[in-house]
Amino acid sequence: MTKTVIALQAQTAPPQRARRIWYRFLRHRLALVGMIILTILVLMALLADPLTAFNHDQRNRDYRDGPPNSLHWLGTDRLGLDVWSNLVYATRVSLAVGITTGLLTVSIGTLVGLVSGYVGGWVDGLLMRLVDAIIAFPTLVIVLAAVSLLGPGLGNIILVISLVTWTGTARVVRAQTLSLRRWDFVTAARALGASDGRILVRHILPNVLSSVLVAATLAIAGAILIEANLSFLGLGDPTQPSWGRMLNAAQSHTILRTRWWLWVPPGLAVALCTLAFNFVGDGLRDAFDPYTSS
Amino acid sequence: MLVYLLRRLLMAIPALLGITVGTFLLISAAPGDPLLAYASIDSTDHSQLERARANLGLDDPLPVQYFRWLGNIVQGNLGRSLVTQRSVAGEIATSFGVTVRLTAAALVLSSLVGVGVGVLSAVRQYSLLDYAFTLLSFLGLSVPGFFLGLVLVAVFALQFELFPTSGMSTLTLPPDASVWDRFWDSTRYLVLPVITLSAPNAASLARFTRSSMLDVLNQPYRTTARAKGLRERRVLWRHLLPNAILPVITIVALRLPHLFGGSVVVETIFNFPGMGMLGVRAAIDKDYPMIMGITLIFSVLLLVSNFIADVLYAAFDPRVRYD
Repeated sequence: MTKTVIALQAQTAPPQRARRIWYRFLRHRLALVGMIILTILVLMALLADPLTAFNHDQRNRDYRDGPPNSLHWLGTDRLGLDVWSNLVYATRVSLAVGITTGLLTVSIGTLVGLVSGYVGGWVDGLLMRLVDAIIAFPTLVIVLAAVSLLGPGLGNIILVISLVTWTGTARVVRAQTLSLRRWDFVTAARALGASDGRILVRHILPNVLSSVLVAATLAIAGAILIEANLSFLGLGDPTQPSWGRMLNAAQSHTILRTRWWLWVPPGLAVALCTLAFNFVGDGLRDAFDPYTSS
Repeated sequence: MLVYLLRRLLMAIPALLGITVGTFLLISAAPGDPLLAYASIDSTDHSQLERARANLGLDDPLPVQYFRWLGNIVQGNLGRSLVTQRSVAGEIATSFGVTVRLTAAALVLSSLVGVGVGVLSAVRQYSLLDYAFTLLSFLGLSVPGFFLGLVLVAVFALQFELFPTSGMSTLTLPPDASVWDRFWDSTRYLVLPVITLSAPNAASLARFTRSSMLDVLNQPYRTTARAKGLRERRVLWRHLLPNAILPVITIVALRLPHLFGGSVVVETIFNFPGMGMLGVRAAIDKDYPMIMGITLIFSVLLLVSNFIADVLYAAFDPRVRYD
């Protein structure tokens, strides 16, 4: 008896509602554009090998600083490295860093938010002071400092960005948990003898998932931007191809004036990628909650 | 009001202590022995190493080290740069003004543009203008500062030669140049960096102002004001705008960390000798005391700005209670 009641309640999103959300998302034109850009980028990342004629670190000594031609679609740089190959392999790295960081930061944020909102009391107070303390540091400055101290490996970069950016998700999830735990269905579950853990995972978590999904999409965009900034400033992982580093190498006036192929494509790539994730995040938010605009 | 101000000031003290603890922990978590930075110490001679360690207090427990470090900071002593051997406080003092000027100019420009665009968008909701502004603000939020900066340099400094590419002032300015000439000269150097720094901020403010303004547009007091026969312009400026802008103050304060982060990138592109550029060089050189000092000062700057935002909010919103 108890089992069936709880199982019925756990079905938070009947298929009809899911379909309605999906249609609302599709109607959001910008979100659709974002999805198309993302699909292209993901395909580029997955099909990097067949898409490129060169390895990203393979030098063509006979064609340095050359403009785009049929062999080198986006020309070559000073060392004879193929720009298109670098761009494609950097897409793989950027997406990997962005998605891993996004998932990590949202997981930390969701966990902290759930516990903080549900348990309350001094635990809540302590966790929220921690959030305040982390927010007190300017993000890029503290990431720069931490990566410099820990060393510029991709693992460190992912870890540092996650540890600094989870606070936003935590606040959103906490606020929703605070109000959700007073709802009748939570009281009913408790009356039926559900444990705190079960209430959190089966009853509260499904109801905050939509905000978590939106936060995750925006977190990926943010992480990609921070990673690009780090490599642009010369603190990215030197062993990996990276959009930011391609722009870092292209800061001279000669390059800016005469060799557009070295800096415009990677710059556009970062911009398009961030833009796409922001569009999708915005579309998701509108689809889940059609009443809030912005 | 005075009591409220004092209370807010007191509340800032734990945050300030939190910042110093965070910075200190960050530095103690760093791998590597700080002693090895001293070239004069022979790292193979263990007894000498031990003695130096004891002299510098590195054997003491972390809390003891923390309070000694805190004591130094309170006296304005942030240590010496490992690279240049110059005082960290001194280096920061010379670059502080540059960063503050840059970020303050960007803050003013982005607030004016952001609020203006947001209000226009909301008043003409779903018009072509609204769509154009929405798209522009998405672009502003997504195009990374370093790319926008390079595009501006390529187009406006290199192609059309309207503005200088980098630096803060013309070095070849005649010594008898008037104050006005000097001011005009340094303003020309500020234009491109300030635009680069303002773009994401203005975009975010525009989106927020738009939704805040849309909320206000549906309020009954708008109908009342119009029913009284007030002109649309007056309704907008006197009845709607003040209410719509109030929450924007909080958002301006929330955007400040991004502004400081952006100044790091912008100073690097435009070769502006501010704290951001100092920080990047320190990060690349692994100059620990300098990194710490800059993180600390940036955070304190943020804390002070948030305090000012709170005070402004209280001053503008009569509903905020002071008790």
